[in-house]
Amino acid sequence: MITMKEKLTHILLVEDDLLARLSLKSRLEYFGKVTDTETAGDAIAQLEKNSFDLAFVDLDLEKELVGLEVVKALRAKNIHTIVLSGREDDSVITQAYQLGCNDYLSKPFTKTAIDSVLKKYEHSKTDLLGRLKEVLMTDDQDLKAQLKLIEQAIFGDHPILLTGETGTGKTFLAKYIHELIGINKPFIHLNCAEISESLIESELFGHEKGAFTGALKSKKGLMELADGGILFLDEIATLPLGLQKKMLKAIEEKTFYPLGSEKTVTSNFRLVSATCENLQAKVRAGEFREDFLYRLEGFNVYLKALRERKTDIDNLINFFLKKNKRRIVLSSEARAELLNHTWPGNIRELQKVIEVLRSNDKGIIDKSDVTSLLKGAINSVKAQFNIEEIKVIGLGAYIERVEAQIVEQVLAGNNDKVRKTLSDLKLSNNTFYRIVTNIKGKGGGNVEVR
Amino acid sequence: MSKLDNSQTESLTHDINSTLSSLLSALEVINDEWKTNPALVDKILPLTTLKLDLLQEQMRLYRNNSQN
Repeated sequence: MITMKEKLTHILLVEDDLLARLSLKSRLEYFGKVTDTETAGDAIAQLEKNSFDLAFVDLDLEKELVGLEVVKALRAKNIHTIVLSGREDDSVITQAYQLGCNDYLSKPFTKTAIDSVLKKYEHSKTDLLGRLKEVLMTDDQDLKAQLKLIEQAIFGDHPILLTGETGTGKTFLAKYIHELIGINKPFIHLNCAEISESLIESELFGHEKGAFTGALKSKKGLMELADGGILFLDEIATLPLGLQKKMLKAIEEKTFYPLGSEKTVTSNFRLVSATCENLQAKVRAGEFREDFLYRLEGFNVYLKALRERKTDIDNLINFFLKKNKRRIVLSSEARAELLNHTWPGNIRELQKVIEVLRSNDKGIIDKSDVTSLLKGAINSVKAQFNIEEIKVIGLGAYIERVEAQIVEQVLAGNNDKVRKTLSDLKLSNNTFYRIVTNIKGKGGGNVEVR
Repeated sequence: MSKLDNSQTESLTHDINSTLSSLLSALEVINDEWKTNPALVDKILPLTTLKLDLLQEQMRLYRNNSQN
């Protein structure tokens, strides 16, 4: 429930039905000071005597649609106005909006609808889009349009899907959404790729003691812990197919069974998920459930790659330069070099490059410092190629060998965790198993698929 | 009883929606406050009973009208 603020919000409630008025008043008193009136005349008299921040107005008072007169008077004083009505006629809704009401609640409604419009009122007092633009430091029109989606999404409880290349700021944005929704609410973050397929179900749903070998005591799942707050599932593309079906049901019904339990758990979490993969393509490849994707896509926010919004690079460079007390200065050539780079690792890569530049002994960074740093990264990849060898064994065989070496190396670094490796290398299951089968067929490697 | 015209049916639908809304809000308040604010609940409960009777009457009218 929305709670009382430090400075009391003064609310005018205009409703002629006694029971509705008493109930709504008691609900609104958690949010501010409420003055309730029964007629349009009383409401307009109150407007002359007092100042209000917010008003709830029933349209049908002592006679038909007289509430519209009150709406007109409220909007003339620029008071945030929420209209209540049992009318199903679009022309009445249109009239109310034309008079400038901020929201129209159709009767019958529940407290969830009231909480939602109150939340919207709270956010309307802050320049949400401005803050989002500021935190992502963007002047890009496309990205601003995407941020506008977040502004709309905040007020409801639809899932939010954040997509974009690695390093574009998806996790940062998820945390910021949490801050906007309420920093005191839970924020539960799970990177689906970092946990084995066998464990992810019990992590999300929780389990009872003895539910499976090793379940020595019962444990609450992350969905339960996220009750009232945000469940952030990063790298959602790696969520196993079987679990997607179970998750779909849990998201829709907000209830689920922990493993080994016969009692349902209810959790009212908001799902925010993120991926750098193309989920539509995964659906076509049969690796992702279509119905699950539709559920995730309540609001789909695409974060453009840095190379697609060149104007933002300069803002970000300045931000990262000022972030540390040890200040360095970029020559104009060095800055131009940074602006022209393609930034495959996006904001994360840019931040790292500035940190590396700051860590050297120089105070004034020139073009050669930047060039050698960016070239070093490219050369580290180029050095892998051995053209003479490719000419001998053929490009196909060479690529197979390189693939195998990379998979073996990353797999070993991930303690043989397949899912993490799939995610790190952005590989599909099919490609991974093709490479592993090749390794085994050639008698090389010790790849044990777990 | 004669059949209601369109505007009377619209008006009845509106009344039913309003009654349902009052009842829903009242029940939510009763559910949330019956332990902490009994005075409010004492005030609301009899009104809720009356409203239920009214809903029954409105729904009877609506059904009769639909059948005619």
